[in-house]
Amino acid sequence: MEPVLSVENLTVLFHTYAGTVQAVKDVSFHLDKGEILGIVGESGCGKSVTANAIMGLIPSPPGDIAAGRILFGGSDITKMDEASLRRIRGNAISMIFQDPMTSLNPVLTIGTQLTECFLTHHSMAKSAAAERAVQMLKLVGIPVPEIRMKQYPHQLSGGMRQRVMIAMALALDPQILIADEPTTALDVTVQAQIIELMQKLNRELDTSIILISHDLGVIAGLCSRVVVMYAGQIIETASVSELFSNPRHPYTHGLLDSIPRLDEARAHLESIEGQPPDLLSPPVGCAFQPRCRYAMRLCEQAPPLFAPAADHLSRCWLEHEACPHSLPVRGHKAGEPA
Amino acid sequence: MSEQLVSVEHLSKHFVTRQTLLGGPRDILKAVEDVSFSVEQGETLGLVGETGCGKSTVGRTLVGLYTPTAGKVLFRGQNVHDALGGPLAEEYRRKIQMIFQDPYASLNPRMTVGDIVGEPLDIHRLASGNERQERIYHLLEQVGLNPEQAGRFPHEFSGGQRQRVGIARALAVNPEFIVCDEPISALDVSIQAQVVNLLQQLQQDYGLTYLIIAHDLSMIKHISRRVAVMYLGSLVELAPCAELYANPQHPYTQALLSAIPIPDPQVEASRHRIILEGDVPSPINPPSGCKFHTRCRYAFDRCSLENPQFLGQNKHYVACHLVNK
Repeated sequence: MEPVLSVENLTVLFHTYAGTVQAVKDVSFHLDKGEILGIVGESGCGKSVTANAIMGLIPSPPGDIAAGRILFGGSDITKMDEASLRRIRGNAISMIFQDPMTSLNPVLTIGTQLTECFLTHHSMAKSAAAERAVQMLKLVGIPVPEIRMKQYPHQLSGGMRQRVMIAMALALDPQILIADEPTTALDVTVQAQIIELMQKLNRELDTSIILISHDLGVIAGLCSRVVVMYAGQIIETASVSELFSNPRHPYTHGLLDSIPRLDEARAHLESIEGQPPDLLSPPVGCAFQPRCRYAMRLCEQAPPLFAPAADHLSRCWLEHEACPHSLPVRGHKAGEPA
Repeated sequence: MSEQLVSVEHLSKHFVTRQTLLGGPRDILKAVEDVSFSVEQGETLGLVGETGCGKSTVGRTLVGLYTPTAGKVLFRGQNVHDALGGPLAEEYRRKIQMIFQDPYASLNPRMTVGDIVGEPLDIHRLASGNERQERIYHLLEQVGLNPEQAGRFPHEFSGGQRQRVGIARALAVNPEFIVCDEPISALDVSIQAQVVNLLQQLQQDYGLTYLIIAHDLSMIKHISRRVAVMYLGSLVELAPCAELYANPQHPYTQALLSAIPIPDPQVEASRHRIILEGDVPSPINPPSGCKFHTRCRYAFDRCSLENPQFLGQNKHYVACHLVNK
């Protein structure tokens, strides 16, 4: 099947006073029609920069797409001019941002902001646009949308605002929805509402979704495939069941061991020592090597992506066929109900 | 049964949020309404709830940053807020310390880390000169920082390291009781476990008692001995940790627990999630009776009329008409 979007060898640099930051380094992945792809990683790992690059939102300067292509519908987004980008943004690819408070315009009503996308992308009568906007608000589960249309963002709760953001992102029936930490600023009960909504939209509208999150629980519940990023690189890619039951990269291993789970008791959390590297001066070789408990001499050379299993990639020398060591099997059996 | 170190009795804290020009009716935000619980010597009590439920207000009132509108806080049987106005004020400020959520905002950017950790020593006149320096180095080591970094400023540290500085500052005065307000929520996933392990280690080493305020119920389950759940300014449930997670009684606790994603796709696929409809009502004008009745799927007539009492047995307390028949 032809993917709707493919990112090939994307490298994004930021030229700053302090030096050049390699925010994204040689990242390749694809998104299939109707799938939910998760991108996991900690702050500064390049996940949001990747998303912004797909939307053509990397400011230049200081940003610089130094290499790679982003193919969407046969054309390369990185080469597009602003006019063609504007036709794609919101229309074919749209985005939900982390903070619904700062991504809505505080001085315009919800109705004005929602109808704007219809009026910009389609020549539509104002009344028809307003009607469509009300429909969208209904779709995302906002009660009495006619009243909400006349209200300002501050009159809505955080969960409501995120629903408005989703309504806005889905208004023009995009092929791809990029959700950058859509539930991070929300409480768990509201998060559950938003997750359910995204699942429903994915099922009913067949929208392909890229979900960016640091919450492995949210990823486990929503995604079919997962990309794990660390220090600007993809370090592991696998289907969601494979990644959680059989993680191959020591970083993924460490992450899964360091989070407590509601459905089991652990006496001690295995933390990953140290901290993520400074991308101004990344470590030599494997970026995770200074924090990795399995680090070997070879790790001072950058590892390629190995394919330990079908559809499973891991950027770790442990996967090399000549490597005598391997990762221990994870302590608890994933997938076993509590 | 262990000794009660801190007990909170019918604590309420109201804030006046608006006054009309003519001094007409004012809006009163009832952040905390009639909350009672106790913290036992050497335990970790987890206090959970969603944004705006009043959990931070409880924490801040406990350390004396706020004075209660009604009710009292007892520390070893002595009223804290009375003591803070009297000659024993310093002693209480020393025994009760706090660790804040935001490691970026809670450290003075113009002070070195050494001075930040040393300031409580100066204020309480606990050490000076060489002894002070030694104490600072020792404290930094205790929290896993390099003493050589004492001369650096907060901006030179990462979030996790700054949180360690905040912990060292709280430890400087040998406290007995530490209120940790969302100590890890601003940190990256791989760093959270480091800070939690550190807090547990320090508790063992110094026999500390913690009140940990958080919204992450998985982490609270990991560190707490008992857990209290708040909703809209009131406690709805309080139970020993294992009991609360295995056998939640209050409909809100049940919904809250079911909403937490579990990092395991197979478990997630088969879970039943209780989705709460609507939003949390405003604490300025809370619903009558049980504050949760507007969103509760079991609500019946009595719930909107009568405020449920916080009752229980075997250390499991619930405020719900359905449970306390």
